[in-house]
Amino acid sequence: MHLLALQNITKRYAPDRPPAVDGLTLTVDQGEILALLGPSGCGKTTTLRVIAGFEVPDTGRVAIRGETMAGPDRWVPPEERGVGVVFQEYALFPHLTVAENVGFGLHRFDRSARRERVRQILELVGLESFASRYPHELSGGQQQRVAVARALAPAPALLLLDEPFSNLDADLRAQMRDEVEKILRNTGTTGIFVTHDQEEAFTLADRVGVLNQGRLEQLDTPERIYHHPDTPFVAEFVGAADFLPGLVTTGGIVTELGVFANMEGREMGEKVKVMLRPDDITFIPRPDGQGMIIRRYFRGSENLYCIRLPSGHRVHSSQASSSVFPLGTRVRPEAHLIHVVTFPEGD
Amino acid sequence: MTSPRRWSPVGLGLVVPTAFFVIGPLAFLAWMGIAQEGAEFLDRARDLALPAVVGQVALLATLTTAWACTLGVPLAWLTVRSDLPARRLIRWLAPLPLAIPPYIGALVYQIVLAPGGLLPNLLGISILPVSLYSLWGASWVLGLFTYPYLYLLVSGALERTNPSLEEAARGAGLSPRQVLLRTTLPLLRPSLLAGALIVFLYGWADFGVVSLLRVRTLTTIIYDYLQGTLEWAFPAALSVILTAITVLVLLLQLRVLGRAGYTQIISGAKPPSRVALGFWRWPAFAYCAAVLTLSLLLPFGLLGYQASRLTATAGIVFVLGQWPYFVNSLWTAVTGASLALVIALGVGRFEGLRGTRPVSGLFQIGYAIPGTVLGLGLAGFVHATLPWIYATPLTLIVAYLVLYITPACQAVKAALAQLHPSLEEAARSLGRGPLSTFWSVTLPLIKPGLVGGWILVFVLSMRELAATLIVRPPGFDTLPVRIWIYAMDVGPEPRAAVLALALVLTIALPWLVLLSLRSRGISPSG
Repeated sequence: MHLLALQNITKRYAPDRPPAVDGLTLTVDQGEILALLGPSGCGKTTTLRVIAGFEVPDTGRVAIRGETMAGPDRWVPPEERGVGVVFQEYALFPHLTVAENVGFGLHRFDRSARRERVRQILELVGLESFASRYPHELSGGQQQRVAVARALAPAPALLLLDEPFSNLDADLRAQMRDEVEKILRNTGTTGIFVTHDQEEAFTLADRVGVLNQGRLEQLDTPERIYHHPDTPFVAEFVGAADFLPGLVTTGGIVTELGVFANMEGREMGEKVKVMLRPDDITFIPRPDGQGMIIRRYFRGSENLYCIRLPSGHRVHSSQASSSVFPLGTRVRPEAHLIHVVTFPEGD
Repeated sequence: MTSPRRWSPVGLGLVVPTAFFVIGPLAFLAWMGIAQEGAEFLDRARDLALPAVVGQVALLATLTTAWACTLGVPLAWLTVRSDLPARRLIRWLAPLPLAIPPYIGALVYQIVLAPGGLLPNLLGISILPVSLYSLWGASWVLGLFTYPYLYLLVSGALERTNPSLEEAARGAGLSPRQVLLRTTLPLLRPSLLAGALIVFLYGWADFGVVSLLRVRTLTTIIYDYLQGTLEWAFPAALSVILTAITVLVLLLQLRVLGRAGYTQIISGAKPPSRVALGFWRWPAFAYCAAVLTLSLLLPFGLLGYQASRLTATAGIVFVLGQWPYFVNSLWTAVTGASLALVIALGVGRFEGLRGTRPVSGLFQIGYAIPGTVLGLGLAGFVHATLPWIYATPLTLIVAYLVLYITPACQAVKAALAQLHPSLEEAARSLGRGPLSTFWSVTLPLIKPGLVGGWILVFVLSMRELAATLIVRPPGFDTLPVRIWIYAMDVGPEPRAAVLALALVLTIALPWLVLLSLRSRGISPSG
């Protein structure tokens, strides 16, 4: 049995607007960490709110451990779902101390059990000495940890995190990401978090669901999402990608940058576009080269070159930080594809 | 949040009767007023020189507004944006004159300026060139005790002004003076207008000051008619005129404020820079000191002096004799304020639902009705529909409720707006039901706002005079009524001063609590 199952969830906020979530179906297993990834307005936060019980879905079913939480004939309020939530702004209760915040969900425990549980969970997040502080006396990272501790205290079956790291500075973000992952893994808590940052989704999650306009485009491991995107949208959202037209022949897929193996079994004569990532493309400067460097983006750890092909198509190539070529240099671009990913021409 | 929200029976049970009491009096007056025969009305209007009276009231309200602006606006700018000496102290004192009801201000200035008063005696003349018992005297008193409305609104707006806007104007090449004229003042327009409007309508609808200073206005004519004849039709017609003009002014405000966005609150923005006054520092200080002397020091000092002329035993005997009136005031105001707050909470919880806007709009009518008009309408309406509460203290409480439900609603709404919705959702996700969430999260966080709202309604009800005079049951006098009767019958003599002092202190203490709540700036959002 899956820990969480969403079946055909649709949620519309206004009748004249497109649905925020459109026919979403997915399952999450015990102990798994799932990332919902997508641009703002793609419906990822709405999905989270439907799971938590803050929104009533228009259609579909939400089930936790096989028990229906929301469906045509049943609606369980948020307080009875056993789902923990970490809010984007943390939503710590400003009138309560750290210990009172963490103990807030333990109202069914007796006094000593509650104190023990609060102590234990504060130790887990490394905030034992801050128990009597008020939220506004804490730094951003500490507030985040209290928010996680508070949500974990009642030992929820499922923890939902809404853009949990977006309010933190870059270096603190990486550190908190590691800490939150460790806490989730150590406690065996199943987690679903929402983010628009693909790097965050890749490093933290076992599986990533990419959402676009309320629809689930792909649900897969981070590696599959990056190397074998199902749709051009996924391909472009999780990393830079160029698409080059190609024709499927018996010898392979013929493109301007050479012939690639037909790994996906496309039909002969089909027109496709081939996905090229910047790390798939190298080039050699040659006076008679077919391509020309038209732009260089210095990224610190790498140089990203934009190369114009004779057909007018542009491809990007990632080069070492120290390799610098002037604009206008003629080059011979080469594509070395380990995974050949193609999409139908019309997509 | 969760599951489609609907008006609960409890919410409706609170709102519907309130709406009934807001609409009822107005409908009654309109009906009575129209029932009046046209020819007869015109006859009486001519006898009373009604157009002249209306012009006089309009002039009174205009003079009052101009005077209050002169007092309040410079004070606001100086305390918020300049390096005025003793800035903090002045800032703390400036709103306090609101604790002195203008009719008590009139009493105080009778002691000073009336023929045979302190100032004429000092100057050795019998009467001053400009009489206190005139339009000028009434505007003088009204402006002195209503300027804090303007002060509070304008200084609040000045504090919230995003300094980057002024810096942008400087960056665009404007001089400091041009910045003041072309950026700062236009941004203050809504608060200036709102403050001026409050003061204008106060002057327009005032009864206490004009009756004490013997200025004939619509409200005094209505009251005299009621006392003399016990006949409804003509005062009702006058009330319709009075209310129509009030509503007209309010609509005008909506038009003027129009569409432009003025709010630019940036939390955590750095505070605005202060302008160095240079040579003008001490003259500016003298100005502020003069305003506070006239509106705060002098009233308290004179009331205290006048009261001290009573011998100790005579004073105690008198105060004990007046004790029942004090109790009357207290319990009706407390009940009114508590009821208003509960209803406001009911309305506030449903904010955003269909029907909330009309409801709070309806309540605002109650706030805009002049006290005299509401008193008249409510008395007539209750007499006609609910005779068993007519001439009971209950009518008085209903009057307070109708008059002051709007400030209560505004306080609750402001408090709830500060509450981030995810705080309540967090509580729900931690296993607390709606009721438990309300008690453990919502209520503690909005409490400062609720306390503030309660105090405001309490203070306003405590000092209400015009409506109380009309709807109070025979013999059920409140403190303001006693003061007014003393001052009308025998003038500003020591016993009236003792009562006035008691009232002012009862109002001033909660008012201080309210101000300190505001300045602590409790922000419950996470």
